[in-house]
Amino acid sequence: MAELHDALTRLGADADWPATPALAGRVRTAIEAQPAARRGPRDWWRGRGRSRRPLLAALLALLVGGGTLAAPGVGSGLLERLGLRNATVTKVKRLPSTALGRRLQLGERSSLAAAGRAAGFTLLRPAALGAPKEVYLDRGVVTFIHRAASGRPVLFTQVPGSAGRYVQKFVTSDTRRVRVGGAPGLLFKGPHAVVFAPRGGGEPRVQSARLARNTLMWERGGLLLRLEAEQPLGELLRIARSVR
Amino acid sequence: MVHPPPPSETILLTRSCGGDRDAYEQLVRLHQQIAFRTALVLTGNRADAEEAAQDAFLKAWRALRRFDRSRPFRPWLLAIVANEARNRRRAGGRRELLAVRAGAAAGTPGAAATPESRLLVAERDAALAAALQRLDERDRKVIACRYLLDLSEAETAAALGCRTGTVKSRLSRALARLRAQPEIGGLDG
Repeated sequence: MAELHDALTRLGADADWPATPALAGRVRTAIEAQPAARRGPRDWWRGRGRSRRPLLAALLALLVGGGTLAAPGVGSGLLERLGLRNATVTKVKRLPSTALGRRLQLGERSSLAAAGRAAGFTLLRPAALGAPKEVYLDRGVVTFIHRAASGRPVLFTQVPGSAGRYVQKFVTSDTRRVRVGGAPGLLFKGPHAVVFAPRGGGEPRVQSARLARNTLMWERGGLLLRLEAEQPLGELLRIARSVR
Repeated sequence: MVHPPPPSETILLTRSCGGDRDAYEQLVRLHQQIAFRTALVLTGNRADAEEAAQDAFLKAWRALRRFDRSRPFRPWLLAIVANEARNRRRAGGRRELLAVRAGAAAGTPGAAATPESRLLVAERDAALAAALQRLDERDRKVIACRYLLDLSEAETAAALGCRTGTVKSRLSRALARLRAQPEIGGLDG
């Protein structure tokens, strides 16, 4: 019997376990990016405020934005949180109002070739939409603006996980888990706010809220991909599946 | 230059319970491998396991104030990991069986082992791995937790969501079924 136990234990030691992902940094980033209402294990206002990283200030500014929201934990109570490897989507009761309505901040206008060179990864393209009308580049994040048949814009964004970015989104609608070509994805409706939090620390960047009707986020080959459009879910999934 | 020893888990836990995020980051680093591997055994899918382990650490952080520090941390954490893993295990999802390498590097019973004896051990391990894969999921999981992951009975119980007594009886039955597989007849001593 002991021989069988030994053999099994040895088998475990020699098994081809996949490499353990570096969770500690991600967990740390996610904890720091959490809205105050869920910061635990101590309530945020009882924590050691002086040790807070700049992210807290940015998030508080985001959540309390313009004084239109009540204190964190009241008006912005966290309802749900869903995560992908490089992103989380958090359902809140109210969005930060400061960002709403601003024009999109997608970075510098670029060309497909220049963005491809600068991005440091092979750009993917949604074949169903043809060539992008506009290309933007923002510190490794590439966004295409396409025009759907209806003439309405479709945004396709590629965020490299290897660039150390962690994306946090705040939404007010329910979030659904979907599969895109076997990969996990999240779908949500309506406007949302975006925080890019560098994994290795440093200043988080708050991006303008969008006014998309539907947003689909999924991951592929180390990239976080995002489609935002007025198209219904089925159409978004069709576009997503055409990404090459 | 002499570096101070890293703080013990008890110290990290105490600091984490007080809201120290640096300490918690170190605590996560200490346990991320076993959390991920446990989730992998339970979900059978790498992406689900990664997500489950990450979310488990986040939930554990938020629940730390309810953690009884007179008890060991790992079973408590693994219970959260297991819960997250079960939530993510989708019926139609692709399952990846753990690849068990039983090649030349496997089983080096001692410096005096000859190449022939190492080869024999490697072949026997390959047979054992094949036999293990043929067991049903319940048997495979309890054996994987207890032996492949080298979890204690209490940790196995936490991972499987059952009592330690159930682990003992389930493990005993699973090992009996494993021993009944023809390839490993010589291992039951």
